[in-house]
Amino acid sequence: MVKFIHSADLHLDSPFKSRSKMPSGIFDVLMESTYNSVTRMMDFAIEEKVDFIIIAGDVFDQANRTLKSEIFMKRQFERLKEAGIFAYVIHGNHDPLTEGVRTSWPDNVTVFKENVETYEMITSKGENVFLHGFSYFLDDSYENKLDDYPVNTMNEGIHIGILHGTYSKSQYGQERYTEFNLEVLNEKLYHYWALGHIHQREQLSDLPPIHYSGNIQGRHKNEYGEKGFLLAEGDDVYLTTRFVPVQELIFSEYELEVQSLAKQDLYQSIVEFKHRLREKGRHIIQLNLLYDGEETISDADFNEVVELLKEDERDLKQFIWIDDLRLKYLTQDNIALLNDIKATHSENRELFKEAVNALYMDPRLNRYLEPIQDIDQEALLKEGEERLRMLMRK
Amino acid sequence: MKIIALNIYGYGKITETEIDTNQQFIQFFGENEAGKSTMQSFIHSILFGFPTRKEQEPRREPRMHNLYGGKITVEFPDEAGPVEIERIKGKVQGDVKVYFMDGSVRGEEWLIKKLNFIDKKTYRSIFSFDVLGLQDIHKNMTEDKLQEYLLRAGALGSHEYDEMLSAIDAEMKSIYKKNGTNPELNQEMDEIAGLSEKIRVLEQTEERYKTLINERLKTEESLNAKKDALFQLDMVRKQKMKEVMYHKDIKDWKALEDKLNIDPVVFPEQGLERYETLKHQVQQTDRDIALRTEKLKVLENEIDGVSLPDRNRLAYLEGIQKKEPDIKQKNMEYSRLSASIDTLEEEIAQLRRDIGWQQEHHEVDDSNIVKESVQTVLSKLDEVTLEEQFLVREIDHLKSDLKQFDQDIERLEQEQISDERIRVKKEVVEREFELKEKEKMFRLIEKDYEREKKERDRVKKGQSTLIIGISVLALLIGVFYLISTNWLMGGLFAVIGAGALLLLMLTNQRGDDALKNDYQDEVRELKDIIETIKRNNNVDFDLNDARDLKMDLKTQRTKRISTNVRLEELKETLALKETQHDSLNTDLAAIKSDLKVNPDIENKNIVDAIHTIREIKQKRNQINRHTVEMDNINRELQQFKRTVKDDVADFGIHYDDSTIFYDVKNMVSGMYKDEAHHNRLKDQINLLENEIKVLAERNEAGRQEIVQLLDYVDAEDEEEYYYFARKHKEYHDNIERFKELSEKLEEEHFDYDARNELSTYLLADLKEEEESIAEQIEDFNRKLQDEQKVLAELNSEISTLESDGKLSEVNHRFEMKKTLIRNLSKEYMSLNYIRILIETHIKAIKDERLPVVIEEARSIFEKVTRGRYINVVYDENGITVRHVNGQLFHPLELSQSTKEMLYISLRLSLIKALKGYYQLPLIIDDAFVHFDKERKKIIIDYLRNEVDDQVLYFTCNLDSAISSSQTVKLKERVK
Repeated sequence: MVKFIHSADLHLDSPFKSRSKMPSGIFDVLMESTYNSVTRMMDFAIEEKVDFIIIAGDVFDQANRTLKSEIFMKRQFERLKEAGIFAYVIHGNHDPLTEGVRTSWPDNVTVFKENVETYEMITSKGENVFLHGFSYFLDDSYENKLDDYPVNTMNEGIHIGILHGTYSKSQYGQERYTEFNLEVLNEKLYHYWALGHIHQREQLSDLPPIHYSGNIQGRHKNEYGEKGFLLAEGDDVYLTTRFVPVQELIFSEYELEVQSLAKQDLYQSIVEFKHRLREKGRHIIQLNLLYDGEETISDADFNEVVELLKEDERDLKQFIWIDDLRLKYLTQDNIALLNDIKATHSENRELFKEAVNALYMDPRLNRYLEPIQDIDQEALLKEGEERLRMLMRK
Repeated sequence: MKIIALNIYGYGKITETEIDTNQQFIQFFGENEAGKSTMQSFIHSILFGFPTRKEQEPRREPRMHNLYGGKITVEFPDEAGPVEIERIKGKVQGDVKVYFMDGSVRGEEWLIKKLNFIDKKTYRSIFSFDVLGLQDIHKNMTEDKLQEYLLRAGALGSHEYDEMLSAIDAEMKSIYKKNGTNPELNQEMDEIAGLSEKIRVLEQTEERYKTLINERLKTEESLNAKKDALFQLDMVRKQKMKEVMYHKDIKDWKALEDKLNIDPVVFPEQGLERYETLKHQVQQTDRDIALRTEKLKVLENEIDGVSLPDRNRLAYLEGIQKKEPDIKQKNMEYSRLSASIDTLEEEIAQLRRDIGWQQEHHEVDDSNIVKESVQTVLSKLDEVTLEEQFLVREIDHLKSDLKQFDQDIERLEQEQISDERIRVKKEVVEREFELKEKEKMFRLIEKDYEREKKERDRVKKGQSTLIIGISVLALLIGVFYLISTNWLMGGLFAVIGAGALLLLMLTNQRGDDALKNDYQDEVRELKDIIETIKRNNNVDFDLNDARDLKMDLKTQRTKRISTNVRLEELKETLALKETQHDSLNTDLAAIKSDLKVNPDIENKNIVDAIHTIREIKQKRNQINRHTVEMDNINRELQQFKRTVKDDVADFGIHYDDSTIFYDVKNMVSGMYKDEAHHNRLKDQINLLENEIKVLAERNEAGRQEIVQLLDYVDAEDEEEYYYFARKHKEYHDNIERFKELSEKLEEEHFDYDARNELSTYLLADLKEEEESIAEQIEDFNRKLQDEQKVLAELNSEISTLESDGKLSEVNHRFEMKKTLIRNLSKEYMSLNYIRILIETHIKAIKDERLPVVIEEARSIFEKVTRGRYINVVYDENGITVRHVNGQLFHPLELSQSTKEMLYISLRLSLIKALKGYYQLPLIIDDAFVHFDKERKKIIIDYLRNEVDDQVLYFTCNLDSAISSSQTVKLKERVK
């Protein structure tokens, strides 16, 4: 009977993507959230007396790889050491080996090097466990090393593959590092595959269990819902897994139908909505208001409501922070005039480039912007239309 | 599209109105307030929806009517027949139904599509001309902008783009300006630049971390080396201190080692103690022997003074002593017996008195035979007495019975009833029975008779009714015939009738009651007889009672006779019993005299007297036995006295019965005491002699041992022996001390060589060495402290870096700021994109669509000005018109009406240009008020003849040139 934790994508201290300016209280919670989630996981590991813990890549985050996170991790590993728990870590695209660790890990931590390696461990109950894996050397070098994973021919012990990579059928857009398909993994005849890189928790196969544990704390609305790690338990016949949530706060997107656009009514119905949500923990949400009626609300009034809502959460511990509040009129159609324009000119890439270049030509600004090719023309048009509609409502 | 009919259910003040508009051009004429605007609004509403709150237009819901909306019938060029569009109250914009000729119905979606998605506002700004619109232009727009506005509004049917563009511009400017500082994005950029700088600095600081860690490692190593050295020095110093401390011991040790370097001194084990003990012991023994010899002499003297008594005499005396209890017992027995005899005598005298004996009669027979015979006689006597008593009682009883019988017989005889009376009574009873039977019979006969009579009556009634009927009929017929003078027939029938009545009377005679009456008489007769007998005789008694009385008398007489017989028998038996009694009494008197007892003694006590006699005899025998025994005892006592008296005289004792045993006892105890004393003394003497002998032996052994001890050390005398003892002790003390020191030093790790070596040093040298080492240690400690301080500083710096989350925080802020900037940028870019799109669109229209519109406008303008203006030019300077004389005019230079002409021309050309998109009726609301008659005619003619679309012309000035078929007159309706 072996018992271990499969986690991935801790992204310690990863900066959050939020649209609004937050009060310091919420900002602090946000900053500490990845740390607190990891601490909870370690608490759980110690309490449950697991044999070892796997981190399948992206322990740290390139955008914020500081001493603080490393020291924190070191302390956590030391706690595991005290409890006699081993840790097996691979580095992913966000924390490649080249950006080496400035401090040193305690000796219960095994870090896989850039070539596929196998470590054998014997649990306290005497089972042999073989762990296979490799770390990313550079963030963007992803020569496929799957062939280097040894095939399990020994028929003894439990074999676990650790991999930071992208499932070939996943929808994940960018950074499709180390793409794999299930046949390749199955061929290795392992008992468990601990995957990392995709932040959405997912079971790819039941026999053998192949899991993405997902990241441990969501960071924006696309990483929604509960986050945590998997607790695997079993023997060489079958390993069962159980998801354990440890997130500090939940990101999410909600829709809310409102009956009236009067400032006070609107505010009240959102407050009630927040009240209902508050029971489920801290949230940072994008709230889409749906309105089916004749009234309109002016941009100024709407902004006032937004500010009021933010002000309410300023000092709350169990906050529901509405990062983005959008109002959608179900009855009111698009601006008729624009339809014609869109039909005629939206195919014209030149116009789009001209619009975008206005900012990308500013050298002080363009370094902070996302790559120009990432900007979606259609989305931009839609946003502009939305914005214009709001402006015209003044 | 052509509107061919309007049907207003209720809209504003117009209700339930139907108007035929099936004309290409139609004039709506009405005075002010006749409902022209309402009509226009109605058309707009039906096609595009009722006015909403957002629009600056009244909803015109009828006040006095509950139906809102209406129906218009239109013709579409591509539809088969007219289509009815109905809009009534429902949701805000109203509910639409489109009815087709074929009966199918469609909804609003179809309509919107059919109208090519044009909205009310656009429709109005393209297809509606009103004087207000024109006036607004004059009022609100400066003359400079008019040209631009006209062009754009005309070209695009709306000026919304303008609003949009200016709103977008303002918003964009608030977000970002290329070289600005105030717009939001510019501010954020400044801030993020600041954050970047901070991050750079912090990252550099964190880079120092590795250097620091290295330095710490180095310092720690050096520190550890120093600590080791220090430890070593400390050890050396400790060793030195120990040497100083133990130096004295080492010296001592050395001295002892030298001293002990000789032959070991010998001396017997515990020699001194042993010698002294022996000496003391010898002296003690000598003293004991002297004491015991003295005591022996005294004892020997004493034993000579004590004599030993003779054993035979002692035995003899003891024999006497042994007889004492026996003699005493005998004396007591003697006195007891004599007392017993006295008592018995007393008792005998008493018993004699009880039975009346003057003296004892031992010859009297008191055997059981006598006793039983007495008892038999006594029981017989009792029996006879009892029988006598019973008989006397029985005789008395019978006598009283006899007396009772006599009385009863007398009474019964008086009560007897005579036989004559009884016979009469019997007769009465028999007759009464007969009477009863007869009455019963009579009642039965009566009942039968009644029933029969009833039956007869019924039959009779039927007969009589019939006869009456016949007779009446006959009489009537008779009367009839008599009246009709048929006398014969009349007479005949009258006779028949009368005959019938007569017959009836005859049959109705009473029936025969003879039998019944006979019985009645008989019964009455019997009753009379009974009554007579009762009156003549007293028969008031019961027959049975009389019979019983007779029987009783007979029974009593019989009983009296039997009782008399029985009385006689009993008297005889009593006489017999009395004789028997007397003979028994005689027997008893004989027995009494035989027993020599008092003859007066009661019969029942005779048995007791026999028992008393027996007791007297028994006691007398006992007295005799006691007397014999007493004689024996007395003889034995005399015997003892005689034998002892002489013997005790030899021992000097005078015999006396009471004291003899006491004297003997005294003498025996004195003799025993003497014997014991003598024996004890003899034992003591023997013991003392033995002791003296043992002591002498021990004394000798002690002396020999002392000599042996002295010989062991070869000592001449005691002095020398003590000298050797001292020597021996000293030697051993030294060895002990030496061993102790050796052990102690060994424990402290001073081995033999070290000890020898150290003993050669002086203490002062050692102390000097120790001090120099202490100084070195001091020196090292100082250095160590310095390095530790450095290490502490390093550690604190490292931990500051480790615990410092600033970089992390700034990174967070940076990323957040970045997101913010991206969002703002996106917003800006999106607005910019829209702006560019709109502008491109406008430009495209200018470039592509406008020349066509302008050309059309030119043609219309030329036409409506009758060739006065021949060209409309659009260039970078705006719009100008060319007069026929070749001069170019700016619109500002034109007259008011010409300007309006130009405007209308442009609009009409626009409608033409948009023909491909929209084919809708034109609505003109008194737009031509500024025109003179001719111009108006020209424009109306143009509209009537040149425009393809339907034109709805609303005016308050009736144009009489238009045929009445094309005119609808609206009447003011004030309700």
